[in-house]
This record gives sequence, structure tokens and C-alpha cells, in this order.
Amino acid sequence: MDRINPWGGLSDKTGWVRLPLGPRPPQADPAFTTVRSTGNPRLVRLSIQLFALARDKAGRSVVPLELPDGANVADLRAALAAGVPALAPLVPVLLIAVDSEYARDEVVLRPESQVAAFPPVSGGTAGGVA
Amino acid sequence: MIELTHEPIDPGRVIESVRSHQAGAICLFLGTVREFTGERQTRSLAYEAYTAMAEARLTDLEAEARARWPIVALSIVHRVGDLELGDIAVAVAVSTPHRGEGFAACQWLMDTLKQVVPIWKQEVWADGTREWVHPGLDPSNAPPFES
Repeated sequence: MDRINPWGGLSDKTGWVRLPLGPRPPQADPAFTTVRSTGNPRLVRLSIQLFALARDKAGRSVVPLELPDGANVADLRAALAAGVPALAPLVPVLLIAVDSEYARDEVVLRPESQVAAFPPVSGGTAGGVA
Repeated sequence: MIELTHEPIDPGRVIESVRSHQAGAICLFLGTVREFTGERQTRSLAYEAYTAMAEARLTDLEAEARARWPIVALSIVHRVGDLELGDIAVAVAVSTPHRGEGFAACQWLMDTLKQVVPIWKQEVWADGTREWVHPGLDPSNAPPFES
């Protein structure tokens, strides 16, 4: 698997991408506040599964990402777009699933989350045939 | 019966899976591989699924359909992999006491399946080019969230 390293020294030797996020608005989650105040940020490592056009554009079926503790689906989108430039144009319309449920941008990711990103499903007009 | 399968779908088996003397009607829908979409000619189709999520969403669809209609039995079988012209890509069968609710449930199941179940199809056109079918790529389309 090729190394994603769009920020020079920010990517460690494991190939995981650390996303440099800007300041976040105050969070209600006390765990997040604790992490920030101790200056000891934990990281959430995720393997994002890609399907259909998203996989083809990325040229791989899994993208490993490393996000700050407390990161949500919107942060994940930003990391995907930054880490896999070929996916960037598609990222705004990709659907994100967390643990087999469609996830809105505000859903917070956990280390154990099973995350997938993919384009809208085949759809078809109402009453249409496969 | 909820199934994703690489094998050809046997509609007789799907019908038998929902037949019951508690039902007065069986409604069966089959989606099949069409050769022409407007002027464009299809050679074959390839279906891909995010299996774990697809099965979870199909199970939810069954529960929601059962909450809406008096369904005796329900089966959804979706094929994945490479399909030839005329092949059955998906089968939805519902048995109900009366036909009206069967037609309604079958149509709702199929329409909703195509919006929320993560299964994608790729056209292999007659000229050999391949193209994913993602009609919802228009950003103005609402995501399939329950609201």
C-alpha cells in the first residue's frame, strides 16, 4: 500500500495519516475536554472501507486514517479528501457508514467503529427495474 | 429469507419460501438485466455489495414492512457478481392475506431497497467500457437518513 504523506513529517512510519485539525469549537463531551487540557491527545485509528466508484477512484479498497480523539464524520471526510486527493471531488457526496448505519457528519468516531465510504446506491427511479 | 448470493436466483424457490395457507396472495417482483437503456446497449452488469451492511439494512426493511402491512412471509434475494442479459438481479416476494397489501408492500420494499441498501451496479456497455451507476451523485439528492 502506498504511503499517504501529504504533510511531510506528519505521517509516521506506519503509514497512518495524522490529520492536522484546526481549533475546534467547545465540545460538550468531557472526555474531549480532558484530552485537550492535558495536552496528551489520543488518536483514533480507523480503516475506511471503500466501495464501487470510491474504491476505483482511490485505487484501493481500504484507507487507513488516524484522527484525533473525538473526531466526527465531518473530520473523516476532510481527512479522506486530504489523504486521497483522487477522492476529493467525490467526498462531499459520499455516504459514510459507521457500524453498518448511515452516519451524519456530527457522529463521533470510536476506535472500534467499522467505517465505510461509498457513493449513493444504485437508486433507480421509483418503480424502475434493476 | 434475506440473502445475498453469487448464484443464479431461482424464482420458484423464492415463491415457495413465502407460500402459506395463511396468505391469499403472493406478490413477486423480479429485477432483471436489461439490454438497452435508451440508445445505450448493455453487455453485462456487475453488482457489488457491502455485505454486512446490506444484510443489516435488508433485515431492517423486513421489520419496517412487517410493521406497515400484515405480511405473512417475506423474502428478498439479491444477486452479486457478474450477471448476463436477462439474469435475475433481485427477487422480492411477499405473502399477505389480500393482494392489495401485497402489491403495496412489494413496491415499497423494492423502491426502498434501491435507495438504502448498499449494493451498486456497474454497467459493462457493448463497447466494453464500464461505468458505475450512482444516480444519487447529484449533491442536491438527500442522503438516505431516516428523519
